[in-house]
Amino acid sequence: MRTLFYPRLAWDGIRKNRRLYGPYLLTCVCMAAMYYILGFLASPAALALLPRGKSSVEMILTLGRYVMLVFSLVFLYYTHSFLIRRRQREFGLYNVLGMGKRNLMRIVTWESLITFALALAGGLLAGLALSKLAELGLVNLLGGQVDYRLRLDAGALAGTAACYAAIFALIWLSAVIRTYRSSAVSLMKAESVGEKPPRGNWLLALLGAGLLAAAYWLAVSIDNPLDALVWFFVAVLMVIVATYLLMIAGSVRLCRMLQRNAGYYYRPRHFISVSSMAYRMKRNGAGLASICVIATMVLVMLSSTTCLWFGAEDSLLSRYPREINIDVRMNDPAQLNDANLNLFREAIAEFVPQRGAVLENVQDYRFINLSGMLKGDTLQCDYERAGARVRYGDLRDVCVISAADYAAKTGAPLKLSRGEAALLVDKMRYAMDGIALAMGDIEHRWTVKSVQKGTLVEPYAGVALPRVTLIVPDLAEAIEGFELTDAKGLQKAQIQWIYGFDTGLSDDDNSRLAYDMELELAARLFEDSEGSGFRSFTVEDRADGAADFFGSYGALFFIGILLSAVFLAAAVLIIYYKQISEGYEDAKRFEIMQKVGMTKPEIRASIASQLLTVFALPLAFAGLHLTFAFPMIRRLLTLFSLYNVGLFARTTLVSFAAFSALYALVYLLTSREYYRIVSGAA
Amino acid sequence: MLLEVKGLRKVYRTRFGNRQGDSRVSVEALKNVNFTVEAGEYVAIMGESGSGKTTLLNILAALDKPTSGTVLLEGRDFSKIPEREVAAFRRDNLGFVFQEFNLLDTFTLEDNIYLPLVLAGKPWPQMREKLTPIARTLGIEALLKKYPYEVSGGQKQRAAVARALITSPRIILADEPTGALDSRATDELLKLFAEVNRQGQTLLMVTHSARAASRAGRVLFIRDGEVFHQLYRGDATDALFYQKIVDTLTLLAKGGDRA
Repeated sequence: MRTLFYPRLAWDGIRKNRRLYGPYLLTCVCMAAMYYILGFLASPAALALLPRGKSSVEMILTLGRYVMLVFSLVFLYYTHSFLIRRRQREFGLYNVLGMGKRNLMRIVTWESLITFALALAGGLLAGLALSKLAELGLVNLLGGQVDYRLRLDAGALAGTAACYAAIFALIWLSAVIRTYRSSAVSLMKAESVGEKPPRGNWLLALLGAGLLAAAYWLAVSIDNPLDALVWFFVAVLMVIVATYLLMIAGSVRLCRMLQRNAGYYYRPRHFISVSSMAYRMKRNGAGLASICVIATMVLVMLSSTTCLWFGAEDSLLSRYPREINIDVRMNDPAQLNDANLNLFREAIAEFVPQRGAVLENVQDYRFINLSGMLKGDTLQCDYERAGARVRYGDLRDVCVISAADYAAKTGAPLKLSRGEAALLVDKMRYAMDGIALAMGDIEHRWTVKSVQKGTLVEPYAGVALPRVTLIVPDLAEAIEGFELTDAKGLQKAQIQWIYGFDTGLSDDDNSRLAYDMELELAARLFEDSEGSGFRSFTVEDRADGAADFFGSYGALFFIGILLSAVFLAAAVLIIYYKQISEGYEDAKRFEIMQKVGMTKPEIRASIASQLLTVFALPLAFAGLHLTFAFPMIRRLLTLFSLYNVGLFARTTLVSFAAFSALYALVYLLTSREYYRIVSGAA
Repeated sequence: MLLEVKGLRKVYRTRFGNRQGDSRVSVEALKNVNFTVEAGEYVAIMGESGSGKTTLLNILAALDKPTSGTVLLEGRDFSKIPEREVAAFRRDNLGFVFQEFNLLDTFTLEDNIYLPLVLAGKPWPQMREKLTPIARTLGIEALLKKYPYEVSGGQKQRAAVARALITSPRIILADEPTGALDSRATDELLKLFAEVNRQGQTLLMVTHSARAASRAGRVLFIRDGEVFHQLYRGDATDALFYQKIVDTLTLLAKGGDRA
């Protein structure tokens, strides 16, 4: 019997504090389950069900798993320290009643063991139960064949158990250390000591405002997607730090300023609210900032992943303009003559009908693609000449196309005299009168006839540099005399011919056609054009690309939803604990106010307005963050070939609306708990 | 006559009681309480725990309603005051001093004292004008900017008295005001009460301390929900009055009949 004393005491402690422990355990269960599910989906058995994009799905899922793990650790640690703090009084009582530190630690240890066992068992069971659902969801999303066999993955089970055991061990260790360090008297007194009035730190408040302004400026001022990628994480960190500083120090500072204004402060409507808000913010600043950061995270994740998913079709079309796309690369611009190209054109025209297909919407143009450093009005394509330091900001993607091919491609005739060029610019501005293309000492110069926004050649996925397209009278002249291979034998310019068409065949037939045609063309042309110097040619079909696109975007979308759900659960828990702890603290105050002559409706109105402010603050801030993040994320999405701003704006708005609705619901539900505590004590 | 209490009875029904569960047990906290208080009087009410003191005070504070009987303040019947006006009535006519001070820890002492006036919508300059003489009388001028956690119990209680005085109430109801104070702070507070009373403030104090009661002009003894006895100070000194109170308490404790 004696041996069961501590476990029983620990169990009693958990049971009596179930209002605190219940949600905590639920979150543990939720996180462990999610971790197992992600592991399970990334297992070979589950991946085998996917029709396409296996490797990208696996990579994204594994990444999501790491995120999950780190988040679990931070969040559960934080939450548990809150639980322990609330129980200090109970431990103090035990201590006064004659329990030593050693005994208290035994209770804490048993408590940790019990919560761990419950959390893991619950998490794994929930994970097993829900993993089938998640699998169906993912397979369905990616258009695979679903079946109804139940699978489980031993490796993922063991991994989940091990990871969460480690997390709980860390939490246990910190709880033991905390118990060891505190003294009986301080344990007992913890709640009754009067609290110092909050004094928001000026410096921290200003620092927060400054950081936020800087981060916002970064977000709106960066044009270059690659820069955006680098600075995005910096901006995110700045925003997180700024949010915490502003919520903790800034808000209190603001309340203090309002209190100094006697005419404003000593009014029935402001008096109680302003002074309690200062305390509320001091206690809840960190919690509110966390809610705000999580909310922003969820919103960014949801809006961008849904946007990618729903924009996958667009991205696919911009990456693969036709069902079949042939890309031939030459060594020399002189080789882009009609005689050479006709070899291809004829071979294709002969081959395609054999498959019962037609040649529709034919795209046929030549261009040269290189990159250069823009200095003044000169694009230097030889980096060694451009100077020792290659500055990212000066780097430009350069396309050159002849006026004739431009007219053929767009159907808009363009008159250019010798020595004239028309420019198309993308993600950059250009205001010079002339422009020059240089390779080492050789330089070709044109006068600029017109500058327009846009790009002619479809950008490749991943090409994120600002791009300038030169439309010139003659393509070969544009790079005449250029040294096109560097010391290592690498090509400095891509001399390309693009030939694309639609076939009217099914996806599978198109894939087969592309594959066979590549072999056929290789067999015919490499024999025919011996020595004519094709560097390479590829035949790509959109159907094949679609697999990768939908695979990775589908997986991103899926994981966006899963992680959003977990983060949301965490935000809900923070809100819940905030309401409960405020309820206990406000109960006493509520009672006093009533005794000194406030009516219940008055008190209720005052509390409601404070709760509303505290409720709206993180959401409003998250909305603001999201607004400023919008231009930056939009640039990042171009790295994924997504250019549809309207779509992104829509998914962002919908995400925000959905999140707000859910948030309001949670707040209403948890507010009830708050009122129950407050009025129960009054 | 300022306050008139007639035939006050209060019965609590509880769900306590026997194991069958649904039979209710009623407890008669007040049986039949009658007394009056004249303007400018300083009355102490004594009684043991469970004698009905707290119930009586709650009814006088309009926090609770009697089962039967009436309470009249300047002829106005408490039971006739509409529910939504009760809080304002309490704020305008009654001042409270509690055992546990009941200061809000989110306010400075000054703001705590202003609270009832702010709630009544008084303008700020007027509030400050009212505070100055009160703060001087109570000797808390130097403490006004401090927070409750920074000052001693006696100082907190003086701030609470200031909060009760600032609305110029008809009557101040004090519930065990010395209960949480040490003997020096108790003495100071009782001196203040006497001073405030000398200036014309009516006071009604519930206490179980004979020492506190001995400073009042009249002491009512409550036992088993009834006014059992009352003592007038008359010309007696504090010490003599104290002795008379202690004798009465002894008698009460022995369960004897009234002297």
